[in-house]
Amino acid sequence: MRVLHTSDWQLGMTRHFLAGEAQARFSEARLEVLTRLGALAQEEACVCVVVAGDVFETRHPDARTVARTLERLARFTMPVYLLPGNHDPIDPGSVWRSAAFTDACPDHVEVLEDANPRVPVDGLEIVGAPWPNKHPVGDLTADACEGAPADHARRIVVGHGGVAEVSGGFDAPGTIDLARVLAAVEEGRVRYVALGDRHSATQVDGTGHVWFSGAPEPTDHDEVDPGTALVVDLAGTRPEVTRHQVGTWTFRRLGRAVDTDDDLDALAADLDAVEEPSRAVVKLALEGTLDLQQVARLDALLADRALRFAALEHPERHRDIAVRVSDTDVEALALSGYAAVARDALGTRSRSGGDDAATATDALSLLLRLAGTEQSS
Amino acid sequence: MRIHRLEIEHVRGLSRAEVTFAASGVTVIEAPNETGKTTLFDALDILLTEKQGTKRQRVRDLQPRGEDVASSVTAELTIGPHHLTVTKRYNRDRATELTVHAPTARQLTGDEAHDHLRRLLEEHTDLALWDALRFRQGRSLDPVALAGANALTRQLDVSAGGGGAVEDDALYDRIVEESARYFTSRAAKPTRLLTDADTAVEAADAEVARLRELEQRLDSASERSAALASEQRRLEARRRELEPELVRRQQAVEEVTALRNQLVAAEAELRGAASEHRQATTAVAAREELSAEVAAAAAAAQQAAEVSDQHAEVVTPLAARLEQLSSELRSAEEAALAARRRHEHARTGADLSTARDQLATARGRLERVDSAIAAARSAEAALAATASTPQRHTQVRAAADRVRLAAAQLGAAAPTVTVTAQQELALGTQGPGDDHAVERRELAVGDRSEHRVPERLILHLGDLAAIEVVAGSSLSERRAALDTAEQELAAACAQLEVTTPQEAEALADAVAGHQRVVAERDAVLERELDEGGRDDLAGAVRHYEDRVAALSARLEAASEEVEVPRLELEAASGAEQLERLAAAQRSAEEALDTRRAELHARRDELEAARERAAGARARAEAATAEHTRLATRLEAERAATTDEQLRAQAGTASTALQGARERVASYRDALEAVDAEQVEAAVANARAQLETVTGQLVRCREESAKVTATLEAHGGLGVGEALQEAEADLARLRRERDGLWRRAAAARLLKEAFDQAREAAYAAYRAPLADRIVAAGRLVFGADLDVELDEELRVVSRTLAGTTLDFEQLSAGAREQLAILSALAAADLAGADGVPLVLDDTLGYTDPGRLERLGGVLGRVTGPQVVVLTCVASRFEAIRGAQVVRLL
Repeated sequence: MRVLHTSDWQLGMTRHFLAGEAQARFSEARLEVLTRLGALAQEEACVCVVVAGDVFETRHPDARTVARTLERLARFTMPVYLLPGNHDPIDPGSVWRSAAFTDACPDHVEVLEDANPRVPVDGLEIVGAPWPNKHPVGDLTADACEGAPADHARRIVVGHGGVAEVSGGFDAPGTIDLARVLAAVEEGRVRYVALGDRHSATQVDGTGHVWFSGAPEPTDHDEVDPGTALVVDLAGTRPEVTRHQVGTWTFRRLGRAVDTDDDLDALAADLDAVEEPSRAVVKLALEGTLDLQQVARLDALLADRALRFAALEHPERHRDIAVRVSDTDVEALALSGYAAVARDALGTRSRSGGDDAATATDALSLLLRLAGTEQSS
Repeated sequence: MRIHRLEIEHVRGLSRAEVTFAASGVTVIEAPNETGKTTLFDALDILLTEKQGTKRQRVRDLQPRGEDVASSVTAELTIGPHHLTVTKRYNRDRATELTVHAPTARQLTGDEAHDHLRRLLEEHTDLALWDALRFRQGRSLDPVALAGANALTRQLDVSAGGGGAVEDDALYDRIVEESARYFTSRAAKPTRLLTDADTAVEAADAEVARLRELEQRLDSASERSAALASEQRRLEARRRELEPELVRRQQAVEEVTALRNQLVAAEAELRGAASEHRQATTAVAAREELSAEVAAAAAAAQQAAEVSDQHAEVVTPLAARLEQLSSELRSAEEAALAARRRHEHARTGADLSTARDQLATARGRLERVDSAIAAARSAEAALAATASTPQRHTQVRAAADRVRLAAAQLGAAAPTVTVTAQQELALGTQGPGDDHAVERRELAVGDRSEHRVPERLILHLGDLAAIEVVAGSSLSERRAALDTAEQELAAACAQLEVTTPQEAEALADAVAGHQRVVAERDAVLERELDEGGRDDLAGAVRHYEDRVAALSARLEAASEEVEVPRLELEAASGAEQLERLAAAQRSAEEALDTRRAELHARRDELEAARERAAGARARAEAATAEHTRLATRLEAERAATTDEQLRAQAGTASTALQGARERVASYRDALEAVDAEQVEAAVANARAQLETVTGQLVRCREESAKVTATLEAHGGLGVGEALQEAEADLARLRRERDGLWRRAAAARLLKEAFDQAREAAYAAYRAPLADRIVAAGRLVFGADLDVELDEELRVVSRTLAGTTLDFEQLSAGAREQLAILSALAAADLAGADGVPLVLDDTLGYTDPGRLERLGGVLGRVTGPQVVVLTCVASRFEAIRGAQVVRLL
């Protein structure tokens, strides 16, 4: 008896560093993964799918988002249980109660509005601990676990929230008390706890009864193991959990020291080495010392490579790169007369470290560009 | 560029002119006004710029007026390294010939030649400088801006020790252009590029704020919804508590109510007992009262009877007296009646006499009237019968007068015979005619008698003689007149139907008489009749006749009545008698009145007495009846209920009353003990509370429904996602904006740096130009001259003798001079790349002294070419070494 455990779809999410068409592709990918999940569930002969919270990014997603989600879910061949999480709690006015959702919701898709057990097939109970609003009081998941009878039935409690032992903080609302949950597992009240909120697939307890499924597509740079879904086999006495990779996008950081032209070459190579750049979001962290020409080269390099990536984030001003005006720069700026005087004045200012040092550096770069324009003609 | 030679043919007023210029130094071209000095250089301009085939007006204007000929311009020039001669013919026989002599000989024609010339010019000549150094006629006195002259600036640059790369300016232009993308050139304000980015960020910011606020509202609505739900639960629990409490308190109230009802019943009972008691006691009192009344009534009846008897006794004597008085009255009446009758009869008689008199009078009047009328009638008839009219009478009289006059005239003309009697004489006169009688008169002695003889007269002197006197024939006219008059008279008389005037007079008299009679009638009528006329009078007569008849009849009747003959009666109607009888009547009537009055008085007295007696009797009867009535009633009542029975009833009622009072008092005490008010208040309180809670519950539900509706309505807007997108947009726009501003700052800083450096550089190389101007200028103005140039290399101020004046403040002459000096300095500095300085009719404002010194300065010029065009060569005498050319 297998169940597909997934969570944190966060459909309708926007990322500010993705502009225009990249954002559209990102949103599309996040919907597309649903189809892959459906296919995975079918391949693995799962009897149902549980989505442990944050199906939608906001309580009020766009009508299109809702419609397209339901359309994908309609193609699933087994029951799907959606749990309201902290992003999409089931308070009045939430998407779960809106006509846009209820009218189009397929029959095999059910929202876990309360803690009543659902029975997708004989011998399996699904109990949800939905978030009633953004600030729930108490530990919903532990309550749901303790509220179940201690009958050692195949019971899955679907919950959402942080676990202190995993995330390291007690303050967030909806934090789950692992001790109580494990106690309930001991008492035979619950066989498997399907959690959501953490975007990386994580085994919470040593025995593997409590898992975070992770988000099916990554959302940020710091996720340890994103792009996963879990298939949970409850045939035996202990749940067997298999990780599956379903994500197609990558988020990565790229740090490098740039001091020489060779460094710049290496940086270019690094960037070129990234697979599927159109589905990759790369965050650069560069530091070093470059002269004006090298800075110009770096800017050109980044401007060029940025076109290939979904997003290539780098601080606009290269905060960690020191710019010095070298002799070659001076040669390049072969000026005479008052132009040379001006150039030298700017050079001095850029080295002075005053308020407008950075602007002076920029001015020099600009001068380089404008003077270069002449030379090339 | 240098000009070696200029030649023109058929250009405006000049059929031909040729000028050779000094290759360096000053060439003075002298020619009178309007002869073509300017034309020369205009032609040069055209040669250098206009193609042969041009149709431009200024080229067509080269043609001499009225002549359709070709205008030809030739110039020998050195342009850069090229020495060449170029000729162009315009307007007719168009042609261009360019011959390059050095460094490479070439020959070109047509437009190709023109293009080549242009290329050479552009390559080797600073056209800006050429323009700046052309001092045309009428040119303004503005300072010369030389900064555009690259040849100059290059040299200045060199002088200033700079690299002098022309590219620098191109670079500067690019820098300015780049800066202009971000800041306006004049006010250095941010351009649309920057402001639009700012605006976009602001807008995105506002949108994010709006969506946040919306989301916030939805959040609070959601919270409110949860709060309402818990409030609802609380209220429902409370209601569940309150309902049984209310029931319990209501029961308590019911108990109190029962007690109250009992009290009410007892009070009603009390009222009943009290009223019965009242009734009983009242009955007893009434009975006692009735007994007393009966006794009183008996006494009253007795007394009334006695009174009645007394009154009856008074009446009888009064009645007897009254009888007597009545009979006395009757006899008095009879006496009075008789006296009145006698008086009346007497009066009637008197009246009859009076009436008879009146009748007579009236009759007399009537008779007079009638007779007057009759007389008048006959008079009128007679008048009518006559033919008399006043006119006719007048005619007659007039005719008679005429006759008499005619006679008199005749008589007058007639001889007069006077007879004077000397003795007694019996004179007789006889008129003509035999018929005439003899009139005899006796004359005494001395008596005279005059006689006219109209025609013929016979005087009889007694018996003595008869004298016939015949009048002459001259009297015939008079006689005829007299005849005529007499005829007229006869006619007039005939009119009146008389024969003689006397008859006419008599007729007139008669007529007058008739008229008098008629008038008399009118007078009589006037006198005798009243307004009513004769008929009235006749009526009065009839009336009096009737009255007399009536009174007669009455008197006749009276006389029969009193058996006294009427005549006697009549006779006894004198005034004294009337008076006596009237008096008798009066006294009889007085006596009658007295009796009557007394009778009335007595009657009244009797009436009153009778009334009193009747009244007393009635009262007596009433009193008796009353007594009877009361006594009957008392008997009846006693028969129904005896006095003892009544008293017994009163006693019973009293006892019952006491009992009822005691019961009421006991219920009241019981209620007090219960504190009924407090119990009722408690129920009201509980009910109010329940109502409040119910009301709150309703409101709570309503609000909850509203909030839910709001949430459901807004839920579909996708606010959350929209907010996220908006935030992403904002971040992106901010990044872009910041980037733009960074680049803008860089561009601005770069431009500033360049501006500063450039300014310094310009300042640096303005110096050579300024120095040169000052060096030359000191020779003109004085040793303590200094000038200041701006970045356009214009003279902006002059300092002389410590006083600095702006260029505009200088006199026209000074400005003129400074302009020429700065141009000269520029030409000098420009050197090989320079152009000639052309002064066309200048220095008009300059006084002779300065002119001389300026001439000296010009005379020192060695490098550049200077051309001076003037009509007054003497002006430029001071220019030593000048080549002077006279045009024409």
